[in-house]
Amino acid sequence: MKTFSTAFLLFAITLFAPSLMFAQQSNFEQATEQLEEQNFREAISQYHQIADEGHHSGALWFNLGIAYTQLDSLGLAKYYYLKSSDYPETKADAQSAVEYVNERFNRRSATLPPLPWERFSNYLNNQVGISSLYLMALIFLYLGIAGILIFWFYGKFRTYSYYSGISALVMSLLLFVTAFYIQYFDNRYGTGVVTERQSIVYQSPNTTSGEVSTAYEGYTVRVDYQESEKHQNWIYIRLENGMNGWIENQAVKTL
Amino acid sequence: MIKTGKFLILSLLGLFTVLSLPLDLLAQDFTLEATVSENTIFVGEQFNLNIEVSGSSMRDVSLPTLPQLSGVRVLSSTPSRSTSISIINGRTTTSTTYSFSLIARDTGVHTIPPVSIQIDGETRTTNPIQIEIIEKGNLSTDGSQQLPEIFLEIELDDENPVTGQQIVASVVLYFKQGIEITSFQPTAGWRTDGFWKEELENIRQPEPESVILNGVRYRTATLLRYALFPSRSGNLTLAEYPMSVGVRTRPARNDPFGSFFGGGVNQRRVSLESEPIEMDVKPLPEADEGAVTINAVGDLDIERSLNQNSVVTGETVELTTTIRGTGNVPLVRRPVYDLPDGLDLYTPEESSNVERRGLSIRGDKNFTELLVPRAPGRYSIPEQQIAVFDAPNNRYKYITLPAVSFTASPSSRSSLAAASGANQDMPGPITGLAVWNSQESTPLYQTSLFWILMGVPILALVAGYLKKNQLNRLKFDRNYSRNYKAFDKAQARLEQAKQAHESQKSKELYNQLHKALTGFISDKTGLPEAGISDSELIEKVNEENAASETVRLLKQLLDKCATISYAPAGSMADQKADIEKTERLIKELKKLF
Repeated sequence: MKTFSTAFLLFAITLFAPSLMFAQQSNFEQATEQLEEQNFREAISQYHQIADEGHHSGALWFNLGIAYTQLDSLGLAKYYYLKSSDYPETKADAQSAVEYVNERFNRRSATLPPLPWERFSNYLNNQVGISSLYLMALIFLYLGIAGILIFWFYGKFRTYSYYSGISALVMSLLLFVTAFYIQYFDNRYGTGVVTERQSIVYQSPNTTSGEVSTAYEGYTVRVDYQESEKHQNWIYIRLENGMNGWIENQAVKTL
Repeated sequence: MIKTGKFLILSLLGLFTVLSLPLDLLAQDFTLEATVSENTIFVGEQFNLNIEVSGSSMRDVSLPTLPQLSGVRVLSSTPSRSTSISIINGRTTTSTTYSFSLIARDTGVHTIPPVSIQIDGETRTTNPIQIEIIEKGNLSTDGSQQLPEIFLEIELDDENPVTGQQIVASVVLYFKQGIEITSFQPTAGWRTDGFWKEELENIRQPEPESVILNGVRYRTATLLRYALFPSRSGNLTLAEYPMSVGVRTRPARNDPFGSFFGGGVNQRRVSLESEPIEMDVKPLPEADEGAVTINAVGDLDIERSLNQNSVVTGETVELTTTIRGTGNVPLVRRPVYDLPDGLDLYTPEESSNVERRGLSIRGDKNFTELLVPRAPGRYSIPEQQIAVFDAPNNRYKYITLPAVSFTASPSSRSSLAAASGANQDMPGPITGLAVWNSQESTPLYQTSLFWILMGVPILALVAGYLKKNQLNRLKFDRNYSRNYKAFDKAQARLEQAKQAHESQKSKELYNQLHKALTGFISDKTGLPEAGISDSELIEKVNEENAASETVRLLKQLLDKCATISYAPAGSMADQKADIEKTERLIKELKKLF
């Protein structure tokens, strides 16, 4: 009897496991059918349901972006395209979709070109990655310490091991500092997209303070999480034109 | 005979037609007007009183009879008479002007009473006219105020307009008596920064009038008119208006050569410039909340319409807004409507048609917005209020545009790309198997492995550093070296003692035990290796607060080692026991130091 029960359980797991694993795929396909049939709101609802269940993919965010584009919610569309661009399989399509959406915004922010160091750190963060930087820093740390130990205990390669060890340690230190800085930058700041038609940016987190600027739908802003935590319902942002200020949090969706 | 008969018939027919018309109509088919050539006259100066009777069907008009006039003297009670006939669209109008010459006599304000005239047997009277007689030169008291013989001025009908309001700038030429204007030509370069400017089409020829400025009689004529629309508020300046004028002057009467040279006239061109004018332009007031402002000022009507009410998804609907009337039509902005979601908007088309006749700008402006529905459904553009500023009444007029809507039916092409219409640049939706991620991957630096990997090399470095230091100390610090190696050295001597025990060399055995004990204590305490007595060693151990049993055992073993040369060695078992005692003692002593 026990053997029979075990066999039945194994059979059931074998039978249903794939369907459980790919339930989100099935829902995704249904939602995409709705999207193709131009039932945009139904498609959006189904895509959000998949995301709420904890599943996410570049294709999911990308199709959400398309649905919002069709509903003229271009701010939300841009937000989902940007999310989709974080996935290698949809990065190229998402980037061209972002360009397409940007062209359709009535108002575009003046953009302050990033500083060289900012560009470099963005490159390292996006192209190399913080984990890779840490890994490289560890490798150089090991090499450096090996060089120092050789210098201390083996007289044969003293000069060579000393200089190579110190160089490796300096390199490791630089990589660690860079990685820590980028990590700090990444943790403190995030990217947000203005999803309301227009919203005022204030000097202080209250509507009676002076107005700094007006952020329009589709503006990409840099969100300062550390500052924003100090005030509920408000977000401290930096506009692309370099101006800083406070905006009500429902106006911006952060990536 | 035939000709005479025809004329008679036509004359009788005309007379019958005239007599058959109502009497009232005949009575009112004329105008009677009295004017003076100057309203402000110097004492002793001659001027004319003109009585003009014009009409198309007057049969009998008598000479006007002048009433008693105060302050003036009539030069001749019989007026001069001039008649003109004009035929417009087949209608003949006869105009007769009776002109009386008068001379101003008494200063002050006087009224010329109504003048009576008999028209077709009925007595008609003109309106009274007010004139002012002044002393010559009374007003030119200040020499600096004297004006040039000919000058140009810009005259505005409103010097404090609001933004967008039309003002008329008249280019007025003033010139003294005796100067004739033969031509005028505006020179390019009139700067009107902050204004939109349109030259008004002047149909009538300039007609000079007479005015007195600073006690001097001038003639004045409006040459050109411009419509100006301030495009911003604040202090704006109209620059000098440049003009080239051809003038002809007669030489002074006391010029003895005037009649000999130049034929009695002097003709030349002069360049004139008006004075700049500063204006304070007020901003438009705030309109009611909810109303759209489009910078419209004037008497304007606004309409809005869709070109069709039903389209297929992806097709274009035109939303046209027409602004028509008198005012700043070309400056009106496109009204921004609250359009529903789901519409693609394309660059609006704009067209305008402006008329410049008369004293105001009128015309119409059309804004056509192209709307493309992306999804099927009903699209409604809600009712909208547009604010138009009424400058004369200084308030907004609100025009309500009713809501308009249209329906978009699904496209026959079911694909999204078809619905996108012109959106060919946009990629289509992603179909098929997606790459799923159910949980966020933890970054490397947040894993414990990372910190272990970080700790290992640091620990290795610290250990290596300590080891290196120890090696250096062993090399250069003798006491440390002896202390460090004391136990190993004692163990080695104990080994040698054991070998001596196995070789039954009892003296050698105790010699090694003695060396092991004394060497260990002196190495540990830093005492010299030789020349130290046993009692000194025991004393040193005592100083380290050793247990009495340990001291006693040490003393016993050292004594035995010292006396074994003179006494018989014990049994093999005793010797082994002494080796073991020494081993234990060294371990005890190791704990002390």
